[in-house]
Order: sequence, then C-alpha cells, then structure tokens
Amino acid sequence: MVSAFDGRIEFNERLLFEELYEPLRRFAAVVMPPGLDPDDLVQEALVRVLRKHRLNDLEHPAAFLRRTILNLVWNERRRRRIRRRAEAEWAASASRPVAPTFPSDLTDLMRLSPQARAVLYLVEVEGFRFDEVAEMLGCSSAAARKRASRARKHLQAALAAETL
Amino acid sequence: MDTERNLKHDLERLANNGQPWGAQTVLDRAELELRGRAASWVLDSPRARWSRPVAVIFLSALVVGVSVGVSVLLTGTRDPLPPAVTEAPAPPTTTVSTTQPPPSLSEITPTVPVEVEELLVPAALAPDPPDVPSASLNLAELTWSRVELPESLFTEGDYLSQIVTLDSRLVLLGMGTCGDERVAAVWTSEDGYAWSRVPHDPVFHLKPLGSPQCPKVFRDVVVGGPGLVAVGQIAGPGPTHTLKGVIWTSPDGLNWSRVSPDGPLESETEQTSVYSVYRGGPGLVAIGQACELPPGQAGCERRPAIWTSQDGLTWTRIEQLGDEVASIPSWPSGTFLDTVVSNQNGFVAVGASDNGMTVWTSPDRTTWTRVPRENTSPQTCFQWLGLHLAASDSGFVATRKCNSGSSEYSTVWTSVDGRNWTSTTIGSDVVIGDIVGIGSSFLAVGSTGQVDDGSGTPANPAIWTSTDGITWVPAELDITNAGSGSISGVALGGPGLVAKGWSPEGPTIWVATP
Repeated sequence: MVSAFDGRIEFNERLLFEELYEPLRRFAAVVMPPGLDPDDLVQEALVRVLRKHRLNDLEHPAAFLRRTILNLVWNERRRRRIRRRAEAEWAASASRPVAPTFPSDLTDLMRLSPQARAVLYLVEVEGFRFDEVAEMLGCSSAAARKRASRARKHLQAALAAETL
Repeated sequence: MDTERNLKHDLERLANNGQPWGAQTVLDRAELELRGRAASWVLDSPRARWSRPVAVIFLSALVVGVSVGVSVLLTGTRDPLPPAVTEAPAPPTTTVSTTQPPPSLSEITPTVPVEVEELLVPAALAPDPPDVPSASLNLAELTWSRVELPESLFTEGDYLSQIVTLDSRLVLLGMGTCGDERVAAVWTSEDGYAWSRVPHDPVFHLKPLGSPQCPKVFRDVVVGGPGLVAVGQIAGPGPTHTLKGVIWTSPDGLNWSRVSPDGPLESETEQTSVYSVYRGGPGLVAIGQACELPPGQAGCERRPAIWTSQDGLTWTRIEQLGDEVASIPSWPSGTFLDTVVSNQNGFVAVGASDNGMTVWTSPDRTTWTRVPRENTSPQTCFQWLGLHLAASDSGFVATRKCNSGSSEYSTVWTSVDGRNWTSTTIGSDVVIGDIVGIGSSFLAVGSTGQVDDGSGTPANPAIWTSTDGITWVPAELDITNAGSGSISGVALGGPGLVAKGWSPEGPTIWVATP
C-alpha cells in the first residue's frame, strides 16, 4: 500500500521527520559503506517506509527508519561483495578503489561491519541500552553485546598494531 | 579510558561527516520519488551517488521480498522489521454514534445550552460573512464532471493544494517546478473550465542563498485583506534551515506579495509554522506553532501560536492564549492546533494529540478552551493526519483519517455547538479529502476504495452532501472520464462549484452544474 495518499508526504509526517532527521542522518553516516551519501540513505529509507506506512502510525518511527537504513546498507554490502567477486573472476583491472568519504584515520572503524558500527554508535554516542539496540537491530541483547565487544577488540588490536 | 574517549570521538566524527542536505530536502526528494519521479530526479541530480545502488537495492529488495515470503510461509510472521507498528482497529462498518444521537442540525432551535453561552460572540466580534455564501445551490441536485485539461497545463510533479474563489476568479495554489527546483505555483480560471498558469513569481522563490532547501509552499488560503491571503512556509536561512511561517497577499490571484518579511511570524530565534488561516472575528486569524530555537540546535519545543490581523497585511501574535493552551506540551508528544473555522457561535479549532483529535473552542479567538476528551470519544484510531473542519450556519463537522490494516477511512465528527460531538462514518472505505460548509449544508469530497494493484491509489473520486453532518448522500458524478484518484478541495465558482483533485495522471479539476 502506498501510504502517501497522492504521493504527498503529509504535513504532520514532515514535522515528525524534521524531528527525526538529524539523528537518522548521523546514524546513516556511521553505518553507510564508503562512497555513499548518508542523506541518500536516509531518503531511500524514508521512501521505503512511506510506501508501506504512515510515519505517524509507527509506534517507533525512529527505530523503524534506523532498521530500514541498516537493511539498505546490508543489501548494498551484499551487492558490492557480489560485484567484487565477479570482478575478481574476470581478472579485470577491477579493484578500482572507492574514494572514501571519511577521514583516513577512521579507516579502522569503517572496517567494522555496519552492524558493529551501529551497535557502538547507538550505545556510545546515542546512549541506548543494549536491549534497546537489540530491538532496533533485530538481534538478541547478548548478540548486541557480543558485537560491541568484538568490535572493541578489533579496534584495540588495530590500535596496538599501529603503535608497534 | 583514552581508547573509549577516542572511540566516541571517532564515532562522532563519522556521524557528522559531510554536509547534511537538511530534512526538507530529503523530504522533498523522497516525495518526488514517491510520486514517480525517482528516475529523472536521480539522473538530474548532481548528488546522485545513490543512483546506481537504487536500482540494485530494488533488485535486492525483490530478493529480500522472496526471502520474506518464504519466512512468512515458515513462521507466519510478515514484517522483517521489528518496529511494533501500531495497527488501528478495523473500521466500523456501520454508523457509530458515541452518545445520544443529536438532533438534526436543521432541527436545532435557538435555545442555547449552557456550554454555548461562552461561545457567543460579542457583537463587536461578529464574524465576517463566510467565504462560501449561503448559496441557493441545491447541493443534492448538482452533477459533477471532470474537466478535460490540456497536457501543457501541468508538468510532472505539480500538485494542487488549495482552491479558492476571489470574486468570479478561481485560483488554484499548489506546487510546481522551476528548473530543478520545486516552487509554489498558481493557476487561475474565470469559468472553471479554461485554466492558465500564472507566470512564476519570484516572490514564491524564497530559497535562501546557499541553502539546500526548496521553498515551502501554501498551507491555506482565504478571501480577505486586500483580496486573498495565503499562509505557508519557507525554509529559513542559517545552518539549521528552520521553517518560517510566511503570509502572502494578492489583490487578484495573479500578483502576489509577501507580507511583512520582518513581522511577528519571523524571528532569528524562533521557528514558526502556520497551518491555517480563517476569516472571522472580524478580520483574519491564523493558527500554527512557534518554538524558540536553542542556540546551535535544530530541535525546539513547539507551542501553539495564533496571529490575528484586521487587513491581512499587519499581523499581531496573541501573547496570552489562556492557561490551557499555554500548558500544551510540545509536539510530537503533545497537542497542536491544526485548523480553525467559525460561525455565529464562535470559533472552533481542531488539532491532534498523542491519542487522537482534540477540539478547542473560543468565543473571541483569544481565549481557547479545550473540549473534554469524553465529548469526542471514543476515538478508535490513532491517526493525526487528514484533519478537516468546516462550519455551516448550523454547526460544525470535522473529519479525521484513520488506518485500518491496509485500508484507510475517515471518521466524521458532528457538533452543533462545538463542544458536544458525535462520530459517524460515511463508509468503511471512504476517505475525505476536504469538507466545506455551504449555507446550512455540508459538502465532502474525497474517494472510495483503492485500485486493486497494491499501489494504494484511490479508486473512485467521490463527493457527498449532508444537511446535518450525520447522513451523507453521494453526489452524482459523471463517470465518463472520471478515472481513478481522489478529490481534495472545493470552492464556489464557475458553473456552480469547482473542485480540485488528483489522479495518477496528475492534477484534476471537477465542475458541478445544476
């Protein structure tokens, strides 16, 4: 069902989105793969959600949109993985580096999976509890903790390697 | 500890990476995509880094959809997301009366109940004549037909938001495109059949320099002041591009001026929204919201705001709205006023709250009293959208759109005095796009059903009339070229009445002839 009745986003939905935009955009910037624009991601997530729901009908619109963003990122990662595999198979001059849109010293963070970045960001910066994060990401609280713990270990290992 | 601090710092840097487009730009682009312009927009956009992924994501979504379908078969669950979406209960299939059925509006005697006394308007504040005169039109005997419009009248992405009649000229306000940008647009007609678009006026092109925002557009229009008075919003300057309430006036519907750029609706430290303007009091009243912007932050706490004007050119904000309004908590957790109308009994405004429609009354547009929730209960769905309100000589009708699973319907609320309300529905698949009071009657426009293609497109444009707000009679529509879609606004003019609407092919115009 197209929730936007005539393709228009209702005024109250706009007001609600204005409230949600900034944290969503920040979340998208954290979890997105390199080469994308977080606003593109937020826009696509918004379109996806509005095609099926009224924003104001959602009990937790911010969580819904965050989850949609993460799903989009996951799909995009899968697409890239498939493309990389194909390029490798063809042995073409394939491994064209994608210009990063983030500062180079954040590379370690970007090597983490989007889910791991999402957990770290939501807990560390947004201040969510693990059970809340788990609900947003569709995993158990224990799994969210584990992801965060693993991510920290990866980052610490990377830091240690750099300082050697 | 340092590592923790660095991690947080790095995550913050990641989160703040790049230049945000702003909520309005994202909304506008999302809206374009929802309206089927995704492809051209993406191709035109210089920032189309998502363009390639979009196509792939749709394919991926297809794959995910199949996976979900399998998941549905296996687990019985449907939504891959966790979001605990609130599903509204099923719509009533029969007329619902929440209290004792009120007498027909036409049967009401001048006996004034106690509650109404406070609504009586002082003689000095007697409202102006309504925009829609108590016409001799017999609404039940009108035949509606869709006007054939030249393709050149509208371009892709145009939509119509308001229709109004100034003298004999019909004026449509809406949104169009100007280059790559969406801008406010105006169309006029002398007879309802032949329409022309007013050349783009820079007064509507208020994009602040360097801002990624598009200008906001009309929210409401009314006959008053020097001719027409329209309210709307534009994007404000500064890093947060906050919204600004704006008022435009026009003597003829063709030439427009922006009122008081530095007036009470605009402030460096305050964000304003204007939702509705109404003539009555005498003079004009505009309602909306305002909120003080904490320095450096985009969010703010919204409070209801009301402005009044005698001439449409000079506006004054009412500072004291009364304790009840002043104590309204901030949106979205609280309540706001959305639409206001008046008749000889005073002013009625409807708004939304976290648990449904709220109604306010005022004898003088300054002091507002919230109608007790039990007077508008039960409200069977949680839906803030699609609020419409109309006044006739004998009462008020408010409508509110609800969702029921995959379908939508409108609930109709009727009141004689503005304080005691009774709910009903026209039909379980009826969605009302607008409602007006004409004389002692009401006219509702909207749609019934949905096209059976999963797109949610309204199936049948429809119009109803009522003399009491409770019993609604479908108007006669010439379905020869009706098409699918909906009707969303109506005004007196042309051969009788003229309505505007929407179809998958674009904006539509309807005329009613006796």
